[in-house]
Amino acid sequence: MRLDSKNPPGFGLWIIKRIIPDGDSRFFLGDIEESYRENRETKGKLRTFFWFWWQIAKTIPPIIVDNLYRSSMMFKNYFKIALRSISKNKMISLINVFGLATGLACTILIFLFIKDELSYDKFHEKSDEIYRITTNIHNPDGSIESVMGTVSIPHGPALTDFSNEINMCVRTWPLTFIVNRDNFAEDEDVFFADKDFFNMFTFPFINGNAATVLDQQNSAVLSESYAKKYFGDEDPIGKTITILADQSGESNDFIVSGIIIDPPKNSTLTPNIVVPYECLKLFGWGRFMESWDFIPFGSTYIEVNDQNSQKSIIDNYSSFTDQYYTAAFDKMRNNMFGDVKSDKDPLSFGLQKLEDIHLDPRASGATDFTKVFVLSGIAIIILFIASINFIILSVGNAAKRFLEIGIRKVVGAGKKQLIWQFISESNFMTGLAVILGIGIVFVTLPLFNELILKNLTFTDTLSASNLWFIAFLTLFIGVIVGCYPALIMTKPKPVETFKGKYRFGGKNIFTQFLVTTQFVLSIVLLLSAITLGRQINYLIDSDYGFNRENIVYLEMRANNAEVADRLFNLFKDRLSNNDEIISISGSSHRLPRRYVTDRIVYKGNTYMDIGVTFIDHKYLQTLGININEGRDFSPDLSTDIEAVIVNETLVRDLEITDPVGKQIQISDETFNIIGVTDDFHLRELKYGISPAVFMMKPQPGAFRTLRLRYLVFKISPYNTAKTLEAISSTWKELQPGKPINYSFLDENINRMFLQEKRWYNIVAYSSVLSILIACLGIFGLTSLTINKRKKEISIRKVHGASTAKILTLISKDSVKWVLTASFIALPIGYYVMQRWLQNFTYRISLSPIIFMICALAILILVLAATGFQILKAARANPVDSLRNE
Amino acid sequence: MKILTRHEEIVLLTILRLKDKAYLVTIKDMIKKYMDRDQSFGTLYVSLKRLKRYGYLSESVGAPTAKRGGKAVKYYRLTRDGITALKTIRKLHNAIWDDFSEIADEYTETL
Repeated sequence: MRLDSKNPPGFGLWIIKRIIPDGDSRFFLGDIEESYRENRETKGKLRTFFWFWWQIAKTIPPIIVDNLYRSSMMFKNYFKIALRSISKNKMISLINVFGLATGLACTILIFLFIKDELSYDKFHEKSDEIYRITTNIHNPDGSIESVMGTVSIPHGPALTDFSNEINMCVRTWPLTFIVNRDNFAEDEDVFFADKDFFNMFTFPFINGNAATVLDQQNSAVLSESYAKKYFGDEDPIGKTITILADQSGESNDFIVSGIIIDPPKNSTLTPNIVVPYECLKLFGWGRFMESWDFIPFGSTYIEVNDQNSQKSIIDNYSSFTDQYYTAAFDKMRNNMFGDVKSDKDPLSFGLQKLEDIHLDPRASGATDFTKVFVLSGIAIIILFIASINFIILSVGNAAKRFLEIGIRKVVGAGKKQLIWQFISESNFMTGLAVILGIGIVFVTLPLFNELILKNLTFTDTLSASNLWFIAFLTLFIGVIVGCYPALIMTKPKPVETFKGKYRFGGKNIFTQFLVTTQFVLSIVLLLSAITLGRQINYLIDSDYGFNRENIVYLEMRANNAEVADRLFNLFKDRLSNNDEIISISGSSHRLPRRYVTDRIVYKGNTYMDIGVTFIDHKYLQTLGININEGRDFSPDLSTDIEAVIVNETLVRDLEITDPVGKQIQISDETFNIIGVTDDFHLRELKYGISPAVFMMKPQPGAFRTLRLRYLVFKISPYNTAKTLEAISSTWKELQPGKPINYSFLDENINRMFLQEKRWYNIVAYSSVLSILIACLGIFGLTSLTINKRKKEISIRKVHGASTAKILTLISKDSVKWVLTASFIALPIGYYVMQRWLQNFTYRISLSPIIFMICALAILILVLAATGFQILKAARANPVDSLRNE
Repeated sequence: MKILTRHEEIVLLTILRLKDKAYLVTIKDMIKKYMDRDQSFGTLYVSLKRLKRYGYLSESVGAPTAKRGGKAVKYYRLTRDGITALKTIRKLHNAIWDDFSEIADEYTETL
């Protein structure tokens, strides 16, 4: 740029050139130059300088506004054209829009799900400063065996004193008790929490002061719906509610001191009935309050000063444990490591962010972050497939319009204008698809909620961030999808389009690639869904080794062993005459069990955790567990109190030969083995077969005595309602005032798979949807191809081709694509599923036959979808299409 | 016949007065002289385009000069429709502004 002072600054001119249309810019720039030079002559360099830039500043706004106005007028025109082109190809456009709408709806739904999952616990004001203390349980060699989200009770407060990075500490423990008010009683999760609970966590109050509400010893805070449940319309503040521990018999009154708004669903904490942590003492848990080696099931949370606190606390943890845990560790080393000599710490500790808890599989009922990841992947796949459809169909459709484009160019449409036209056309369709998509979301949301066990509402869907996401998505797809056909179609010279030289769709390599990719993705998805379904069914239907059906557990709620025995006999008296009740028995645990650390059996230098179940003599019979050596317990032999029955795995693990008659040492006592059962699954399938022991002698336990807790009924499959009623009324008679708690064994097992089933549902529906969308695409593509080749078909007919021959001719392409896709997809699917199945100890074997049947099914589906159209074309009268030339 | 805005009115009248010499720079200077207010290039440009679209102006291209860095000039002239539009506005104006002085004086008495 020359620094000749008589030229106006080039930068300013460049700006002008950008915003004024090409035609006018020359003149405009000339006017500016002239004005500039006049000013230079009359006013001099400096003043002209300011004048110039001031002019530029004043000039820009009106021109931009005018440009926008002009573009919007243009877009009105484009939309008219878009509408026209849509109505000229109603079916294709409909398919297109609908396919994309479905894909978008899917993506939106999955996005909502993910957003909800990621939003857990973020509503607390201080959520990013709250951490949970975790405990790492170590093996003797120092490696971490497992991690727990809880920590011993005195740990939190001690750590708060020890470290100056911690503001406050709140311990929590949800326990199930019976809550009672005026004869209305139910099992509830009672949430024990330290006084500062409402200071740390944000649960807005309807009535009551967050800071003081838990100060009184016997105060309770209820959530709104629980207040309504127990007090109806009365004001609960100041009134009494009774909490009853049916395990130990303690009953305590609490005065309601506050009401909070119902906690939101995306919360890992469920404070529905909150009482002060100290009250644990009232229910018999007092002896653990100062114990360093007892780890409860309730978590401890701390609030830290700032972002760096976490690191500093972790760094200083070893001095903390040295100060407080030395005695406890010694004790634990003996218990946990047995005779293995080790000086490693049996426990170490960590801090987990509150916001991360939900996505950590160690928390109960939570999702895995990997699952969220996979789900996003599925959403993207579906969207991808739908977008590919859109592109293919748009392009194929546009092929018909080459003539129109040629004419437009001749008449003077600029290349940029044409591109804009196509982009706005495709955006128009995308816009329609979005509106339709949101409509689909609205309609299917309840169904989706059922599938994923959540409660998303439509208003959630329309929140600001969602709308931004959707708008962004639409624009993104619209532009990308519009660009491709736009660029392709504006290239050819007008003359050549007249000559009909440019064909599109069908044989194009890009199209083939896209279609094949679509099918590869959907087939893989389908295979995954099928495998997932088979695996889940396998797990559910597997033989557990005992009778699953028609077994009812009834929780006895007896305070101690004597009461339990008495109740047991009373129930047997009342109900053994009932014809529908085949057998009555009792046990300490329900099957399948969660934890099996009841007792220890020593084997040489190490020990084994075993699950001990306290039963009565009819138990094994009722549950259909077969004894293959020795005998069952007998009510007549009083010595059976000192006897145990074990399972095969125990015998094998302890290497006992001829077990019947031998003695076995369990913890501190000796027992006689009188029988051996077949193996069965004491715990969930994935834990394999655990060694199990059955005994009839009540045992004191760490916190629960091993005694009868459940009545086990085997009932007949007929008239279950009546049977349950009979049991119910007997309960009311024998345990008035206590709520009844019964469950079916097979339902318990099914419930364990709820999460898995939820995943299966999502994957299954996604896969079906993607297949449908892909088929929709092929359907549309075929119709375009038929259109294009109408003349060819007619000519062939005239020359004597049969309908069948034409059918094969046209469908050859689709078949080729699907087959290629299958060849690629089957191995991929096989590999991926194989890897995934490694996660399961008990798994199905992948059968290639099923995979191939799958591919075949898809092929048939595609042929059916397209066959109809092809048939119609093949049967058409050739004269009609050859006529207009 | 579109009702002209004040701004458009002024532009048209200026062009009329400038006879054959009406282009962006001259129009801008004359308006400045009359109104003592500086119109920006941008607003003028947009008005001119709009007036042309209405059909009140016609354009012609003139010879380039060195002063313009070698670029040609775009001259504007009123069309018949433009004149008619101005006349219509004038009539409207007259009708509304008729007797203005008397009415205004009467009115100020009452304030």
